[in-house]
Amino acid sequence: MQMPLKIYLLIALIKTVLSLAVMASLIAYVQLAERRIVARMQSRVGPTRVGPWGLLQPLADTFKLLLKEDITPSQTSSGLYLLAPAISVTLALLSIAVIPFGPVIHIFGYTTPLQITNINVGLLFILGVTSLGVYGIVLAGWSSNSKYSLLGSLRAGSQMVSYELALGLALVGPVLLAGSLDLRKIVAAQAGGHWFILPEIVAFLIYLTAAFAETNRIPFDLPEAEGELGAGYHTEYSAMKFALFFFSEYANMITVSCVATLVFLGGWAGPVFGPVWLSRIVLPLFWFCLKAAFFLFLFIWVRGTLPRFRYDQLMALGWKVLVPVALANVLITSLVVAWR
Amino acid sequence: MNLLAAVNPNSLPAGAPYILHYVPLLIQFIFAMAFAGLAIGASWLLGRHRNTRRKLSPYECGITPEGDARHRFAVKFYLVAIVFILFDIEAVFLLPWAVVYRGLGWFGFAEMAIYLAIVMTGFLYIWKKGVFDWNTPERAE
Repeated sequence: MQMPLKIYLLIALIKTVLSLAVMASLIAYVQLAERRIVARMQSRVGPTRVGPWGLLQPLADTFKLLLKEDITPSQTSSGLYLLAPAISVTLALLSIAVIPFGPVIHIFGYTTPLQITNINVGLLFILGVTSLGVYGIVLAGWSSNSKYSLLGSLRAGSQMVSYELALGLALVGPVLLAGSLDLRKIVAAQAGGHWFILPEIVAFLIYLTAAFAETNRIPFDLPEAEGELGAGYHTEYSAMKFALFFFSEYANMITVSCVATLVFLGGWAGPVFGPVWLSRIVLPLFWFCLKAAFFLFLFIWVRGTLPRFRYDQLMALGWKVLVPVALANVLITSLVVAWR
Repeated sequence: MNLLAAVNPNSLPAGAPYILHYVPLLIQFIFAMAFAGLAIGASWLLGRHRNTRRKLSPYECGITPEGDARHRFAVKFYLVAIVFILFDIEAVFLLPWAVVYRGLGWFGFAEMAIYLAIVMTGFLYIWKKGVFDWNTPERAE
């Protein structure tokens, strides 16, 4: 059934509000999960006091950060200083809009995808928005006018652009196999269990490494290396402005996990059974969340396991290993595709 | 999944302009900005403000700050930025090529192989020049 424009916009509005609410609570609980799991790995217990099993801890943290004093240091370029966290969080929340979470569903006589909007260049859009994310961090470091912030943002800037190249090149392989930048078509191309992780294992490993660097996570968290730089680019930020940087880091983690799920692990594919509501909506969503949660757990696991790289090692790995290997992977993939 | 839903999953009217697919993105953008604005505004309103000159000075491990941060920094950061722009453009060429690759066949493969050979020559040149070496002191040139 064709949809009138009004209904289309109304559905878009509902999905936007829903996805923002889900993202906000997801980010809060990924953070809690990280604290609990890393604590376990380090033989601690982590936060357990607020609510049962510490489940209300994110709420308490939010209120605490809201009530903290909001300091704007006197040397800052105040306009950009305010804008930087807003840029970071806006871009982090924008890229989630094109990620499909499940198949197209039929509800109240209308057809709508489980996704805010499906555009035919979804993957390119995500790459573009992620690369804009570097602006928030560089502006934060520069406008703070503090030495630690500046050094942190310089490191972050060149680290993110270096690994973004490897990230983009790694995704060319799966795009060659799928023949589309539409995330739904990439998932459809993997139907029947032909997940791209098997033919594109090299691209997958490069993507995963670059994703850790893009989100400034251990072992690539040099921009905020607390032993040398205070807190890096957000040293001068306090209260909710600091929280927004935190928020956008976790939102970016969720985005790269979702993209890895869609491009390499077949998206929401998995064994389905039962009536329509179960096999078309609940189970696909379950499989998608399970795969994305695996990647999120990987982020936490690696944080509890690996030490931090040195900066020259980071640059050498990015440019001398990941970029050439990713290019070789593109060539070999295209050779195989042309052969068939 | 029926074929129509796969082609046009947003199920807009058949003749609707494609730009309508981007309208939800605009809505998301506005909501995300509003979220950021509300969060910053709320913490500014709710938090107390008791400032002193010392408190507002930039962080420098507890000692009195020495000047500001408007200093010169290593030229290597600029080099990485320039090299990134060159190679990111190359990646931008690869993506549309990858989308239409099946239609191009061996012709597309040969074209991209020649293109990548030229790009890799430049890549090897800057590699030999030491742009990617961060632990060696810069050569005086």
